[in-house]
Amino acid sequence: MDTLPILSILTWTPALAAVLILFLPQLIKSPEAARANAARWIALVTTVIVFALALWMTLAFDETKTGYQFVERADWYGMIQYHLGIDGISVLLILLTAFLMPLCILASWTSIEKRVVEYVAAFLLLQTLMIGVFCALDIVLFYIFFEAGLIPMYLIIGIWGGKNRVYAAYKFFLYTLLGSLFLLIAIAWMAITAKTTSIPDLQAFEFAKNAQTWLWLAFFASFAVKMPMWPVHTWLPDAHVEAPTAGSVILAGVLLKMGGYGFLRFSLPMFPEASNDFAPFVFALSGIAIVYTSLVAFRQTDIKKLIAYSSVAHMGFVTMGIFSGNEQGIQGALFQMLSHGVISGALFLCVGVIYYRKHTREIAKSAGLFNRMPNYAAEFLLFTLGNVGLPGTSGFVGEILTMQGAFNVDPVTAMVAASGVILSAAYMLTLYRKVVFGVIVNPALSTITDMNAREILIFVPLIAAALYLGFQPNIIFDQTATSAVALVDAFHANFK
Amino acid sequence: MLIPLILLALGAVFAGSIFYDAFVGHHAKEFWGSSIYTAPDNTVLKDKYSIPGWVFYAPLVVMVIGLAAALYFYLFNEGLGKKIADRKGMAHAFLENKWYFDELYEIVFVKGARALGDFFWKIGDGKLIDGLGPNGIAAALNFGSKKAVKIQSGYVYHYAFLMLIAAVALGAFVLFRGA
Repeated sequence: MDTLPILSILTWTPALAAVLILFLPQLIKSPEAARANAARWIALVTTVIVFALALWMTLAFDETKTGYQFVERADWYGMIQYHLGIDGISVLLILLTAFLMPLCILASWTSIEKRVVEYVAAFLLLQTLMIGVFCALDIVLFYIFFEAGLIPMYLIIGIWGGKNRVYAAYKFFLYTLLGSLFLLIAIAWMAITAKTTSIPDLQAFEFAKNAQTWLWLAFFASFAVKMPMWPVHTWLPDAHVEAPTAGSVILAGVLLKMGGYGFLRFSLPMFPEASNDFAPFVFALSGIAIVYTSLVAFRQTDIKKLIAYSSVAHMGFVTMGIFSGNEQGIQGALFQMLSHGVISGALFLCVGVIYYRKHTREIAKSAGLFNRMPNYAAEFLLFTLGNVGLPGTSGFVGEILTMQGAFNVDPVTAMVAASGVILSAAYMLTLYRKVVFGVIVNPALSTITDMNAREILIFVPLIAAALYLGFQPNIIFDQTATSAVALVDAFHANFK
Repeated sequence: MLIPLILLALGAVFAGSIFYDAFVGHHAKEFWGSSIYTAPDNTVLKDKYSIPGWVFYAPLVVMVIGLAAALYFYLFNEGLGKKIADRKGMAHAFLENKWYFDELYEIVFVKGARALGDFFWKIGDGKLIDGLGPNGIAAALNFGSKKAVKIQSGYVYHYAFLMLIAAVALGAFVLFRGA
């Protein structure tokens, strides 16, 4: 693109707004409520502007070209450069991030009452770091964005979370940091060996076979935790349960996608032989994750925990698709990431609607909501079916494609994954029946009110996205196809 | 309600004789065209001509037995069905419960899934992954640091003793290093 540094604008605008918001106490001397309101409005306007810019960028993105677009490059220090750019793999993840943020701000409008200024500032900072992860083309820059994102999320869980928030925040932080240290060592070694930190150059660099093995493992340690893959998933249910609603939305919607993005951006192109060698290992973990966590989800009594475990199962499809190493698998994995971002985000918002009103996430205490909240019941049903992967919702497309991709390589894993679809129907429909149908037994629910205009406004875009992507998946594939094909071709070129 | 039932009854009685030729008789090939594909070495459609003749009549015989039984139970000897049901025999219970398929599925799939889910959740996630992983490491560090704290007793002779042991160990190391 000509001269407009659109990626820098997208990345740094939220951070600038966050700084502005943090100075509000100096600017507005009036009561705290006024400051909180100003902070909310600034955050909402900023995130809507960022979304509009991201949408414009997606439309301006030339999906027929391989390689990176909107590239910005400047020297930073040493060999490290401030190097940004996007391709078909990252463009939609940025759009997803920008799409979910205004909804998160709206979802926190009344449910967050204390330290609102700091809360929205943390969210805006997080947005900067998330967009930065997806457009960084320097591996050190990527690492900085990737790791720094832990800090605002740690604060969001640790300060605005539920009862057990400190345990959950520490667990989240330590788990992810431990994985990332291996990543840091690997990055340092790669920079010294290849004498560059540029991601496109590293992708072209051919690492020796035995080096690939341990580099792959080091990257895997970090991305598997982030994903999260079985057996390093146990931070996720705790983090989700304790996080405030909007925190869960971002966690499930965007932060989990960084793991999959990492596999696509680094593991597959940089360590193709190791990726090929380890594919059966990843398939095994994915298959276990899908069945194991689906069965655990089936037994949960806390709605958020159930959806968290279901997320782990759905991410199993993503890892399975990525390491199938073929076009269907990778396109399906990307689609599944985007679809899960919309659907799981919406499901956490659904939980938030009830939690905000009655402060319960217990399935047993929510029975009979249909009687008082028909609108809520309808939209909850849509996302329940989307999570099951019903044809016509976006959830179906990613699952079928990743299974197709895996079937070409490893039919057994694909069959195990298919059983996960049945299990997801079992736990989601059970959840829906228990929460929505039946008679109200909890007296606190007898006065519960249906969704208000603000809440409906939050759900409308999500409903539209889940259905539109379900019926017109090609709008995604058109954007991702060129990059996915290039990735697959480069991957297979190593085995000829 | 009567007219649709009459139409359906007519269909039930005559559909077979009307469509026999087109579906399975001489015109079957033209009717199905390429809808039913058979591999060149698959002879299942021809094999039906080589089975014994009584097989063709078996469904009719079974139907007639069923009809006779139904007539006997519900028209000629009304109440017999209820009498048998009241005796609560094993055969009756077996049929009444649809061969116990629901119960079997309940035990195998529903209870099995619950038990597995609980096992993975409480033992797998709780005891193994969290117990040995994050919580286990935290507990080990806690335990280790509590023990380590006890070494710092504040008594001079404890420290002197430690120094002595360390000096002996160092001396031993230097002396026997070459050996």
